[in-house]
Amino acid sequence: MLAGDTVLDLGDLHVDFDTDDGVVRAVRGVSYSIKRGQTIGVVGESGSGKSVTHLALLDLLPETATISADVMRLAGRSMLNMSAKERRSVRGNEIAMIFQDPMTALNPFLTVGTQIAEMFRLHHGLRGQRLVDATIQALADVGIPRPERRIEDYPHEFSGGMRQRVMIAMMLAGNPELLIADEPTTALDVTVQAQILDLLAGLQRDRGMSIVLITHDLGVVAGFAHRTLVMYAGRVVEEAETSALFWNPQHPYTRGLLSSIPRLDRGSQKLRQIVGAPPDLSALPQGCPFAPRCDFVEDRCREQEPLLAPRGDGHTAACVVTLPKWEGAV
Amino acid sequence: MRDVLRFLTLRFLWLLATLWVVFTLSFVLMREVPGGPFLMEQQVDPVIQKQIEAAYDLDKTKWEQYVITLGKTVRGDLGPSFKMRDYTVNEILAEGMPRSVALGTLALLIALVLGIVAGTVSASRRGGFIDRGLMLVATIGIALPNFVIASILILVFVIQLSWLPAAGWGSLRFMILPAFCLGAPFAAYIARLTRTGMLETLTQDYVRTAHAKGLSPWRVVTGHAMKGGLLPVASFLGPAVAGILTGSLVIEKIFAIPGLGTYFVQAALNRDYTLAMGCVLFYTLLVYVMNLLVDISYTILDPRVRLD
Ligand SMILES: Nc1ncnc2c1ncn2[C@@H]1O[C@H](COP(=O)(O)OP(=O)(O)OP(=O)(O)O)[C@@H](O)[C@H]1O
Ligand SMILES: [Mg+2]
Repeated sequence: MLAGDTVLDLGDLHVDFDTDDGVVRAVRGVSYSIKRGQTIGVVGESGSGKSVTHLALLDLLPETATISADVMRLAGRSMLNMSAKERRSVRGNEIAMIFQDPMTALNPFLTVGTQIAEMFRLHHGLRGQRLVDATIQALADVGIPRPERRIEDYPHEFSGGMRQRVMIAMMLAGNPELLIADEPTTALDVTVQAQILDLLAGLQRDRGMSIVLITHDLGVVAGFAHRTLVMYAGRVVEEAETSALFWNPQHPYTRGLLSSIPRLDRGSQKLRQIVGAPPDLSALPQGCPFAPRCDFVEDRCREQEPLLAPRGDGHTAACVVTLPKWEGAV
Repeated sequence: MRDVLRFLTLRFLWLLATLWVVFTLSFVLMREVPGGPFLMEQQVDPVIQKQIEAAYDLDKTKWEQYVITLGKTVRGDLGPSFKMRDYTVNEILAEGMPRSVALGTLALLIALVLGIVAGTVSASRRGGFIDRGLMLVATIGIALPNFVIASILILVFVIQLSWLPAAGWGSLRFMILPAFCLGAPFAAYIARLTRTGMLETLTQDYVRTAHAKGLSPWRVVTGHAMKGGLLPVASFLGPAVAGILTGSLVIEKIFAIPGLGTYFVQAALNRDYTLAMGCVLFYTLLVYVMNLLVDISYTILDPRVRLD
């Protein structure tokens, strides 16, 4: 296929959860698409719907979730009317997902070899010596020393960073076109974080897959993602090329996130945090959900929730206020 | 490997100590209880009475008896039965044991298979009609004593339908009812344990990972959720075996099975010191070995647990 093909196309995705306290509207109309070989960053505070959006894509949400979408296309095929079995054949094979905490996301009762081999057996039908060889090679590819010995080990015998490498090896075994990495480095030390991101970047170069990198840390996205989505209260509030997002943020929430990145050149100066907390998704206020926390709020913000509107060069933002020129994080 | 050897040696020494304590306690208790093996209804010639007592060392002091009996027991000689005079205790155990072991094993198997299947199905249909139905049956199964279950089953399958024999021993057909009655309460308990364990593991992150790999729901449950979900069942196996042992005392009686349980009850009622002692020691050994197997199975099920 040609470079630049769309791997994933998502239009107006909604996810509601039925809970004892009412309906939680966790995702409220998310649309975006990814091209082959592209990396998209998804940032936002805890609870903004980053995970739920992508779990919905893989049909991995609990039964209390109601999912609806106008468009959900994988490499041109619609996933909306696929049977449960067809959806399953997408998982691990075309879209793979790695999770935040490699300690709990790997099965503690099975050796890592067994867990990786399961993927080669399921998606490539490998058996016998070829299966063993492929498993060892997969561990070698993610930089685990002495892989032929380590396939016998259990997850608790690996360090946090090594465990995430195992997870990556396992999920890439199916040769997916799209890898969703849900906060893959949040549970790790800073130095290990950088190594894992380097590993992912290298694997992406070699295999040409697309990556969605979910994080609540804009700093992680900076050197990694071509484009970045900013999510707030179940919606995308800004989307742009990553550099454009950093140099010319068009939503007050994005500006708030940028101001709260720790930076070496600011020394010991206090970080600016966004005051207040995200809204309750089961009782959203009228108007813009960010209004109660916004420095630039106007009366009209409380009347109607603004939609994503183009700002030129593929840059979109959901804010109606004319913001002052961005002078960089202060 | 060294660890395993050390572990087994230690456990073996503990077993010997346990057997010795059980032996001593039983020895003292049996002789403290009023009555003796040879107090009979009719008067017996005092000379003959003396001869009999001498044959069984009953004319010696309690201390001498203790030392002599312990010495013989250590050499594996449990002596002659006080009541079934033509047989040694070893012979009686050898005859009753296979029947009781067969019955108990079948009961345990029934309990495990029924319990694990019901519990797993229940957990994966959580809150649904099947789940509620199964758990209702399980609650009843735990609440009903096994002799009540036995009476109901005998009424239905023996008297009404005449599908199965009411009592006795012989082919597998004789074992079905008693084994089921013996295993049923444990099946019910295991079903609840399995359900709880499975519900907990089914919400674990690694089960979500298994789904994300593209495995079928069946493979996710059997390949990923079950190992963790069945850990509580594994630790219940020790108590279950002990419970099935005590249960078999009643069940063997109801179904007139000439097994160890029947002999043990008779021995206790008749003050058959040697036979009762043999049964007690055998039961101790059995429960101990089962608990050891459970500990070992734990390390196989959960790689994070080590033998020590
Ligand atoms: N099973 C569920 N039942 C009810 N509400 C849920 C469920 N799963 C998620 N939610 C809600 O959906 C919202 C979005 O959650 P999500 O996990 O997508 O957040 P996130 O952006 O990934 O946050 P984090 O950075 O903490 O991972 C949250 O408010 C959460 O409480
Ligand atoms: Mg999340």
